[in-house]
Amino acid sequence: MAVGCLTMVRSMRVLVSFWTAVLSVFFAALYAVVPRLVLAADRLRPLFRFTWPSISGAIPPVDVLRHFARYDAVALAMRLRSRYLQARAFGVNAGGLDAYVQKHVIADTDCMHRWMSAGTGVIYACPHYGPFLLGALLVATQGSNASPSHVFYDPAESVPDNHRFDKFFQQFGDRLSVLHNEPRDLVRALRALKNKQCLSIMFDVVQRPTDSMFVPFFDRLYPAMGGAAYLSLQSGAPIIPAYVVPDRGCKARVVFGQPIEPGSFTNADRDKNIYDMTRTLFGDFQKQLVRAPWHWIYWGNVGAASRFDRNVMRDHATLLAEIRRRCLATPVLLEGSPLLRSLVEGRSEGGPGVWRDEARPDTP
Amino acid sequence: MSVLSDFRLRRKTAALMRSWRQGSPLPLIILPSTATSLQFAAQLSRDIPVVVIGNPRLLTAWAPSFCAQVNSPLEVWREVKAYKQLPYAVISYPDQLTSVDPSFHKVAIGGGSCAFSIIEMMLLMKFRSPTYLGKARFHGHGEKAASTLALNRFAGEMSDGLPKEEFDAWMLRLMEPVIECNRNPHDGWLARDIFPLKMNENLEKMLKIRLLEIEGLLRMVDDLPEAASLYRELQIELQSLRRKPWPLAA
Repeated sequence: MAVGCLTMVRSMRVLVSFWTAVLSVFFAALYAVVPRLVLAADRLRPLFRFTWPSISGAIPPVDVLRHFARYDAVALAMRLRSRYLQARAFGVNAGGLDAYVQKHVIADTDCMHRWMSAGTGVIYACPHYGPFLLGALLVATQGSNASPSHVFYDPAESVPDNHRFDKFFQQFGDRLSVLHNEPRDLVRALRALKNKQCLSIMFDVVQRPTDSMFVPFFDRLYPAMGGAAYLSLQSGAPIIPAYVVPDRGCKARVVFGQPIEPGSFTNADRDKNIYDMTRTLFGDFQKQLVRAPWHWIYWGNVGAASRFDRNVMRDHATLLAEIRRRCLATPVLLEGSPLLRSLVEGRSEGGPGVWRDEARPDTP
Repeated sequence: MSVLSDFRLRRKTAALMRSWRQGSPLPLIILPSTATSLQFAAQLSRDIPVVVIGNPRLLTAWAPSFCAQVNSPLEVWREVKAYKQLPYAVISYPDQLTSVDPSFHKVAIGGGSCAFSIIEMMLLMKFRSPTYLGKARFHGHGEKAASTLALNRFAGEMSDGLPKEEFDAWMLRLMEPVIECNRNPHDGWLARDIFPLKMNENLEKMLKIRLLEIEGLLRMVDDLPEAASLYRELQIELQSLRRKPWPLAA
């Protein structure tokens, strides 16, 4: 009995000392490793801070994302490469422009010359996609002192970061002129196109959605400006979608989309032509995004845009349901629009609508 | 709605009905618009006389079988002002009302200002009825979003001559159920898209965007002959609405 007890006590002691040793080693390792990990993370933080905002803001909505395996890893690598190329491009000066573009930008220059010699100007529709600055530099090389190229984007008053681009483009003097999204510069842009010069325009972001039109884009109503289409229709210059993607060996490749000729849009209603051209442009952009979504940084805007049922394209009832849904979200709207009210109440379409009661005063 | 929350709702309505039968005055209940709170209102209206203050259009769309009587604040005030006690329980959904007249009072919330109807304050000042604020707890996302509802008794005695500077504070306390929902908007909050319209800075922008979206939908499908004629019909109205100013009352 006593021997049994002694054996049990001894085995307990062994067990306790074994686990004490294991835990001591574990905690010693933990204390040794954790501070090093923290320090390492701290060193990595600048890189993380540099890339994370662009990654987190550039994640497509879930319904779009599920088409792309390993989106995050590829996006991180691509965004880093784009950032690097863009940062390097900011070091270019006027004297080294041609050499830099020749060395670092791959593009079908024969096509560009063909478009330029067609007798009209050219509008390069260049979104914030990949190292897009290199696309602007390529356009700059097409200009000369006698016939400059132009870049068209929002002024620094509405997008403070654009001040940096203004300052950078200024150094190219008469070869590249900066035009801002203002009425006066719109006239200058039109004049330039009529003089057979080329213009690069950023079309994928809208600062004031209330002054835009809504085009279908990834099954959403996406706000778009009709500036490129307007300029094209007024001047006869084609719109060439141009997407800049990082390539091997610290180079960028400019991929051109399907040219959009203004001559193909001949409706008597000018607004309809502008809408149709803008829709075609965004259709081309969507195709490029399906091929390589990771270079675009404004996916957040797509996520925020209003979704619609794709069946509206062929089904009148779905269209009415979509309109009703939007009116439901803004009941005040119906009080100012009798036609819209009759539409959503279902009077004109037959069948019971969602709205059965008349509008009543809501307040004492 | 889960069986558990259904059971809780029944318990709440039973408790309110019991206190009413024992002679207590009928309550004023302020709720956020959720599926559970609508169910609660429907349930309560079967047991005791209830009037709901809300937007009938929204309620019909959110709960087609909603059986309670829905009135506007104006109608409620006209009916009750002659009584000494509330003749029926009033359930108010402040997050559904987006009108723009002077009976709405603006209070500052979260860096902006939000306009609420003053009907609840008027009812509270006149009748001093027991007041309950509904607190919604949400879980799940998207189509699986659901919520539970807790009723908290509103504490505090309002003085007869309420000083002007205290009005906003009282209003904020009364509107806590919907302001709370607005802090972390959840898919289960039915008025999630409506509430921003109560803010002056958002109203005009959101209305214009909605109009542009409707225009975009009609333009997009103009291959459909019915849609094309509809667009032509609506075009002038949509354009004039886009130019119209929509200010909230001061």
